[in-house]
Amino acid sequence: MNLTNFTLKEASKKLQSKEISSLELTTAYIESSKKLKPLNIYITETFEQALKQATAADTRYSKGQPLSPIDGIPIGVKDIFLTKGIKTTNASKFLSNFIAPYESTVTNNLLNAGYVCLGKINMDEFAMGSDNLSSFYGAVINPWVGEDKKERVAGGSSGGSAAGVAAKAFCAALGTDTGGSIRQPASFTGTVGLKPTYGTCSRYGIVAFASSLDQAGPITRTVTDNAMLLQHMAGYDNQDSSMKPFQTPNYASKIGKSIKGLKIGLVKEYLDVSLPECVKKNFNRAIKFLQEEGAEIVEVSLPRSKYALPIYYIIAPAEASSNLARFDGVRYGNRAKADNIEDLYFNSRGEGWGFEVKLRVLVGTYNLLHENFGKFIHATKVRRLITEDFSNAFAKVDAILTPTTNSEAFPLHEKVNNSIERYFSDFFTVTANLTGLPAINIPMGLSDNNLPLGIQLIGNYYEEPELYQIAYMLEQKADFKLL
Amino acid sequence: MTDINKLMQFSQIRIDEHIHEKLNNKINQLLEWVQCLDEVDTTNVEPMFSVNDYFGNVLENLREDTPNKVSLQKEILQNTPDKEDVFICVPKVIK
Amino acid sequence: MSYLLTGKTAKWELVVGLEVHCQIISQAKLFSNSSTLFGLDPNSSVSFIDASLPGVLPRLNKFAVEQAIKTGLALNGTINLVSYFDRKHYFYPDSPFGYQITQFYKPIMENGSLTIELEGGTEKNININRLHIEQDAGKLLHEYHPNKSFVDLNRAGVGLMEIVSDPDLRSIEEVAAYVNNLRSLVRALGTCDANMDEGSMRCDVNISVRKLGEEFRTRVEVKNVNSVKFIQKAIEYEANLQIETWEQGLVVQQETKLFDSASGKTYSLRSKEEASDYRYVRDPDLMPLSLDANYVASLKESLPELPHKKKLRFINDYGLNVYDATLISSDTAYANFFEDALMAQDNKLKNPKMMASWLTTNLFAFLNKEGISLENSKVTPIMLAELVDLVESQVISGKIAKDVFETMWLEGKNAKTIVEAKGLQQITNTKELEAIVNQLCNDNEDKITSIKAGKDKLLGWFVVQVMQVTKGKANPEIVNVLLRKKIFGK
Repeated sequence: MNLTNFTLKEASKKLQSKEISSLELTTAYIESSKKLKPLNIYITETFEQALKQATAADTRYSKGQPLSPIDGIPIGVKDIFLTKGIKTTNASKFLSNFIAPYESTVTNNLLNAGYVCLGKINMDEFAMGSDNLSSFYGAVINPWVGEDKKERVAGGSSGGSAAGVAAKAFCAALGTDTGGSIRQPASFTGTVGLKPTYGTCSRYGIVAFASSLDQAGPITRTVTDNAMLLQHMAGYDNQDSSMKPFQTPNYASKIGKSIKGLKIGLVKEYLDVSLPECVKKNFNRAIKFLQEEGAEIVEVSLPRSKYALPIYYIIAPAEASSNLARFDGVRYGNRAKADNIEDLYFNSRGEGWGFEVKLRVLVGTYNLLHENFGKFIHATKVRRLITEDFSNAFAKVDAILTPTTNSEAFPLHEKVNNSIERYFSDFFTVTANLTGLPAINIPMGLSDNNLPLGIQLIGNYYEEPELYQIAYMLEQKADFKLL
Repeated sequence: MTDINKLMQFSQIRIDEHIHEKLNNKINQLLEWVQCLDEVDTTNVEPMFSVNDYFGNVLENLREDTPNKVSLQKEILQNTPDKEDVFICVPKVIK
Repeated sequence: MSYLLTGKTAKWELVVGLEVHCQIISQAKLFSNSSTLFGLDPNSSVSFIDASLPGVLPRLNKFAVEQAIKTGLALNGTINLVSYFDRKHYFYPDSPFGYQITQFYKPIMENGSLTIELEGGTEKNININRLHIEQDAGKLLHEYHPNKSFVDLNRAGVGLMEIVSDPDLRSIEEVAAYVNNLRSLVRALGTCDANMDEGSMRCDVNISVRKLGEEFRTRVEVKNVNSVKFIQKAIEYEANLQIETWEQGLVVQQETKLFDSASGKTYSLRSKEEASDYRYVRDPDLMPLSLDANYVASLKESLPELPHKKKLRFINDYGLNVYDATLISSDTAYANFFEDALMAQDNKLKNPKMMASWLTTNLFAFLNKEGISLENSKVTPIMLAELVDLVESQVISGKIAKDVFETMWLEGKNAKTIVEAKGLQQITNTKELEAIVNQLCNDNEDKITSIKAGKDKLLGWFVVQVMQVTKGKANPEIVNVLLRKKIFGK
């Protein structure tokens, strides 16, 4: 029995009962990861260190003193989290030699819980992208191959994390989500990905893309796994001044509870969005499943939701251009050849980043210029209106159901004529980032091409337990077959 | 609509000539697309820079005024591309 | 009363506004916990936040905020109970984030004022537009290497209060008074040590000129002028340059300049186009700063007596003259020394004016001569009190007291000890003095005849003789009385 077939929950149980050891488990995942090299999941492998961590975990288990239910579990960490002493590149040439001098709060929490870090995982450069094609280290390939046998993207920006979970390179993975970067790749790879409520996971030690939108979250095979991992990622951190103090609940506490009587919202304005048949079919399946389990389907209206994507493309680049101003090659990062200080900035920033990043920084700079600032402020006002729409909806329902994304995973080598089209991949996901609401992707079914399709549940603030409750039910009903 | 050179200047990013056009097109495409926002009425609506603004959250747990006495000089300079002794170096800046 | 500059074709009014950056006295920096101590090994009080490493986040220092509130209150400003933090974007090696965290849209204080005293005793109110909190930048050093500049980030992230005046200043005298008063104020509060030499207080000077009655004309900003003297010189040079420009029919350009102290001229910074659009935007890493009204009120009550009020009290309660009152109240250390000395006096006939005079004339002279500060004074308040007691109760004369003071300073001994050891007590015994006077008069009858004939000045000669005989210890007033009695019979 290949040990990589156990879910996180199963592996945890077997570790506690000493049926398996963390060393065995970690070794199995290392072997698996090596075989999966063509998928280009890893940027930096930390296998030696992982084995040491596994051994330490085993010592704790043998004494009956595990640090947590995820003690000894091998996990992949998106290369956007600073991990002390380990190269942290953000998938960029700019940071290709950067050794993190400190540990991010989220990964520190996981270290305290005894996790085994298998490595730093591939992603879109600086988390900007929906296909993991922009990485300095090359594209990630989706382990799922459709009927047409074309290579597929894993989605982005947490493409490597999602692909790795799906392909069983690791038991679970960390991702970050700014406009859908956990949920969309989860949808493309048939995995469970959650973007928690904004302010749930500390952003300290995560390379910032868009400060008011970024949020770390777990990518796993199952809903239960997801809750187990979130439990040790989340928590108030006073180093992050954008977090409000809060008590982490027992995230898994409502898993398995009946959803009878819960109200699930369907967005009136989304009904007319043009979607491929299989996506619609999949979505309707989800509705049916929820009704079968006793949930009530309620129509809600989000009148301004159609503006979410455009305002995201004003706000996110603007924040990014500001957060990326520190990358100048002076104190760290790859410094270009320069005889004068101006060239140092211009060349380092010009050479260190790929096209996508540069595009967004330029757009962002544009949006913040004095002459355009009015438009930026206008976008932030529309953001409030959209958030109001959602608040109104949540007065009537417990969760909102939408497709996660509007297609199956794109072919890897498809020429993109109109990038705006590609942006629509985030249509259903950006609202959760703009409003700060938690949202989760659950694999629902397959497209006509036999590629995964997911659906998204959006919950109310800090109501991840309720979200997991409904997600679990859907997961049970959908019975999606992992790879 | 946009002056790539001006944006390059403000962003301090050197962009090769041969992608100026591609970049310009993409930027203009984006800017045109977001014009649909003009139709939204935001009279009397406050800006929202983060969900914290929506809930009127304010800073809590301000830091105490206790300085860290341990020098992080080594860690700070660890990734510095050009250093002399304990200084970070850049090409001479002429005022 | 305005101070006008004379150009070739008209008289011009000077218009000056100041933006003063005051480093906040606190142990740790504004958004990080590294030390603010001056003079440490380069890049040794730099945290990951100060170096703007990827992933770091700011966390506001509570005490630094308190310091800013106190300063804002002392400047009679309105404290905004809610204020925001914004990012001001510009690229420079001393600015690690590529932006400075500041307060652009809503500062912590608005609508304050500072009173300045002008020659002739008139007072003028200078309006203060705002006070806001922001980060200081690091330091760039250019002299250590032929082709490289060195970056030291120790100062990066230290808290600053930026105090922005309205363009209310109309003369160099007013500007100097404003800067000095502001210095005194923040030092009295303990919120900034305002040491312009060390750079803990730096001024950006906005200068323009106009004809009387006109709207404001274009202003030029001269950045980072680090002494009152240089501020004055910069204003003089720049104002005259602007007047020349206008009178030639040309237009003064809005520019940012620096002042070269060697040449006494202002000169343009190399133009950085992008510097003119700072893309100010709310910092999403920091929620708004919300202050409790009761907390602010309690800070207001806790404010120490401010220099201006202290000065008025010294004039009204102690009868000090304006010069002494201004000088002593300008620094808390001086004022405390003065009042400690007054309290330490035994003499119920306390004469504060005399004490003030001893402090400002004698003690300060010795401090200046040796280049030491009051806290290192070899004469303590108690020692000075003892000396002044002796003078006030006429145990020694003022003249002898000066010598005693010098001995106190050089030998560290108490006044009483010195006076007794050297037998310097003033002779007030009338009989004793009368004897000497009589003897002197008898020996100098010719001079007495001259005095009676009208040569009053010779009286002084007699006084001098008595002083010589008594080795300066005779009480001059008594001697005078006795002489007049002897010579004139009254």
